Amino acid sequence: MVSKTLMAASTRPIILAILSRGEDYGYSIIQKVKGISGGSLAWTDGMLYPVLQRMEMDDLITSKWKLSGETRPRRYYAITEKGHKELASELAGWRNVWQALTRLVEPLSAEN
Amino acid sequence: MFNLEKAIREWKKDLRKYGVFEDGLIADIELHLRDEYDAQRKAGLDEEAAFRAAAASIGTAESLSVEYDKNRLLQLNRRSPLRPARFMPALVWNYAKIVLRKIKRQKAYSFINITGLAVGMACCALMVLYIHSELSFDNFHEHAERIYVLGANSERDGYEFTTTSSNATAAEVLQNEYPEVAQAVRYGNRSSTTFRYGEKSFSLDDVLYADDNVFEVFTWPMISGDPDTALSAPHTIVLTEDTAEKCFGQANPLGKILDFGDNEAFMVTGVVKNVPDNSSIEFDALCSFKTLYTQESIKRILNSWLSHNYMTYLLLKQGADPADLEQKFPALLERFSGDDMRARGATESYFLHPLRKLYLNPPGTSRGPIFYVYIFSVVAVLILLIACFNFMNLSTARAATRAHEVGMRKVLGASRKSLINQFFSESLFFSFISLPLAVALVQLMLPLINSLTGRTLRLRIDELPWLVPGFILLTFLVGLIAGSYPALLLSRFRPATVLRGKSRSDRSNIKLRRGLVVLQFVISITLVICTVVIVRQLFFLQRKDAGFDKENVVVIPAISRKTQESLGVIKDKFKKNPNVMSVAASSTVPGWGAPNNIKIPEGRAESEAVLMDEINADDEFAPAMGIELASGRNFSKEFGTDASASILINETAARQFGWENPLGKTIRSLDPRKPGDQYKVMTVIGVVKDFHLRNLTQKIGPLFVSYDPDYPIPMNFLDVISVKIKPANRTETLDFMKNQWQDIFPGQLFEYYFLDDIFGRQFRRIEQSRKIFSYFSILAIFIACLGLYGMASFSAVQRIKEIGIRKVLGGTTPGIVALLGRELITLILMANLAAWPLSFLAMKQWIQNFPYRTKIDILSFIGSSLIVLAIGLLTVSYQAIRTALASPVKALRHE
Repeated sequence: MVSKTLMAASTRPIILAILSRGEDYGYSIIQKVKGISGGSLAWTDGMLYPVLQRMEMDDLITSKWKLSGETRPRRYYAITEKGHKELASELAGWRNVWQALTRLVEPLSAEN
Repeated sequence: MFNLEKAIREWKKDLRKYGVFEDGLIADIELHLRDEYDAQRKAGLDEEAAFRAAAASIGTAESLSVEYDKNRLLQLNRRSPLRPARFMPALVWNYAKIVLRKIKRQKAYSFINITGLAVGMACCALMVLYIHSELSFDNFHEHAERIYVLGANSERDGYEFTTTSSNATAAEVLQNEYPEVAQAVRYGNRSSTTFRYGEKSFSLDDVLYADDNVFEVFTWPMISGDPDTALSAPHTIVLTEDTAEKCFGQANPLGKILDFGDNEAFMVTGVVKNVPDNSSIEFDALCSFKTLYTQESIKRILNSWLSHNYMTYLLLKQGADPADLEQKFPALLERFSGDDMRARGATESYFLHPLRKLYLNPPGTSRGPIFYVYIFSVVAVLILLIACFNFMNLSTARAATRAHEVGMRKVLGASRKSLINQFFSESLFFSFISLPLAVALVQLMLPLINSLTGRTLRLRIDELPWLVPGFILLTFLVGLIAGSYPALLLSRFRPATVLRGKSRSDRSNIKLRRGLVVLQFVISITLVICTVVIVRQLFFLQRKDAGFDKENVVVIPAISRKTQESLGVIKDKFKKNPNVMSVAASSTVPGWGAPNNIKIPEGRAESEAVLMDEINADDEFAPAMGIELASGRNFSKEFGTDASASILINETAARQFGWENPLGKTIRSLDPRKPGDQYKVMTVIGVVKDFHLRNLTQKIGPLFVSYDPDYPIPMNFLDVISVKIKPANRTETLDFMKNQWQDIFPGQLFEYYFLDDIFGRQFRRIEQSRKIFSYFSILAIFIACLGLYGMASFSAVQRIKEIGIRKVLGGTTPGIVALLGRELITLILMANLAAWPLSFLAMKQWIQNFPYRTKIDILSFIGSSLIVLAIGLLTVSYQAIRTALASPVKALRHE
């Protein structure tokens, strides 16, 4: 399981990453997160929506109500230009953290 | 039994309790819930369990609301702090919306404002167009700034006059000997203006003689012909476009010969563009000045330094000072005419008058057209002011209804400045709405103004490039003036006072509004009084006994020398018709004036010579004109000497010479047949009663009437035929005369005027002023009444409860109408206090111009005031009666 803090920190980059593959709606985003992480990222579903609203306020994503081949209208979210940049910088950040972590851990295991 | 929809409704209700969830957010989450529910159902859960699982996955309403609340606070914090912006486009739209709403809701009020402003602006624009055309006189000449006319102040026989005409010789001397003068051009009038080409006869209004350098000095653009040589030979003529077309149609006029009769023929050597309306020099054709020198009979006039028969224009060299040149004139006059002058006890001095001021401010008259330009400018501004006052008046009257709006705006943070801006933008909005209406009105009224002023004023942007900015400026100005007081007044309201429903400035407001209404009526009444006085003066002049009978006299002007020879035949033929009473031949008729000539009455020395109006007329002149004899007899064919040695004088002459019994007295007059200053003695055989030879705006001078059928100088040819006819069968008589004329002179034009028309022409200017004043007074009253109507309807609405109570307590309808009308009567009476002295002073000034004038009597004043009062009462009475008749129940129920 992922800690609450780490989960909070990763929510935005994950949503941005999902939306960078194409526009999507809330329920589907949650399903994808659950599927990819194999259940290790267990969000409270409702918490996604305030985050999406906040990201929209920050101009990272936009939303639009649509009826696309389904019976229910859905609010589709799409990533903005600013969102793409944010995703890139988040990714770089996460990579740095990951590299630092792996470098610190690997030599230790080699010595063992 | 589990009901999904009911469960969802309950769930949503729970969310709503927290207040942070907007409907959009709830819908978003609800969809999530339904998706999850579907998924749980597929996984095999029953309905209720599936719903609970789905709801649980979303989380509690409380935890969600905390997150949303954070977002909301963040959003609030991000908003910039409240600070009034310098310019808020959104607010401007709001102002516009309020004005549009106002127009929609208060149709009558808006109609009054917009119409009033439009009429005021239209009047002002028309006046500006007219004034511009007046001020542009003679400006089209390329050298206009350097062209001066040579004028003279003369005193002869105690008779002073200022003239812009001069002799024919000064021009040459000035051009040759004075370094300041670049060119000198002379113009002279040609009296005979009828000519023939082939079979056709034509008559022109103005034919001038002009020097050959006229095209170098004046800008008369030549279409065909050579401006350098066109008038350099005698008997050459240059026509204007219209004249050329009239005579030759589309054919080339150059080289064609025009036959002016008397063996006088002119060759067309050029065609110039038509003379513009705003030219003080008017002509249909220019003949070469050199032609005059081929006529033996006028050589003496051409060489005399004392005559004033021509106009001399000087083009000064660049940088030359006209004042320097004027200083040299006394020496010039001394050199050429000093001795002559002294011999006659006369004095003369020359001066230069700029061409550009010749029309507006002619020398020797205190009131040229510039006087009218001033008057009309003032009138235009006054009418514009009346329109602006209406706007102010109605806006301040409505101040109370807008007090709450002002209060609210102030409470919500509007500064006084932004409120002033709002009210100014409102008045500007109104004035800009009025603008297209004003332009349309101008377009509509231009033909009327043109017929009044005899101009061709046009609204053409290509001709007057300042029109568009001018109109916009005018609109701005009107908006600013009209909006100024309402803006300052309304923005001053204190929110605490007005929101409680009190307005302290109400009383001063009412005073101001009354003041404005009084001012409007001061202007209206003044205009009406002026109009009435002008009309009375006009009637007075028209009805004044001119000393002759101008009715039913047909005047056939300027017949040629050849025609004069057939005078006997003409008389005989005309008299065959019993409706023809007499046929006279004379050198002029009343209305056309006559030349002044030097005469020496019996008992006076040569140095005591006097100037007398001189007419040459035959024995039928006095009977045809209805001129009565005071003593003595008329000319008669029975006395052979009448044609050479007898004269008639008028009563003024007898009085002036101190002759109690003038019959048999003699007057010495220059002998036209002898060279030099040789006199001929003429005996007075009769005294005619005074009659007006010129217009009624001039005093009657001493008159000298001779009877010389072969007078050798053109000025006194017997070349005007006057036929007195009976009023019955006028058309038949005229047809008869025309047929006889054509019998005697086949192909020659039968041109005639009526004496009353000729004499009536002098009234044109007064007639013009009368019409313009009438129209403007009507407009002024109209605008003022619009405002009055607005005020009346407003005060009727304001006093609706008071009137209701009065009626309940037994007030009668007439009593209430009187109550509402009383205020108006007081205001109009107050307006009279100012209007009477104002108009009296203005009209006293104006009427001073006339030697014969009507009295400015109190009746004109009372009458005018009554007219305005009646119109004002009519305007208010509709509202007053309507209000008075309204049911008090309705009025009092109003809450």
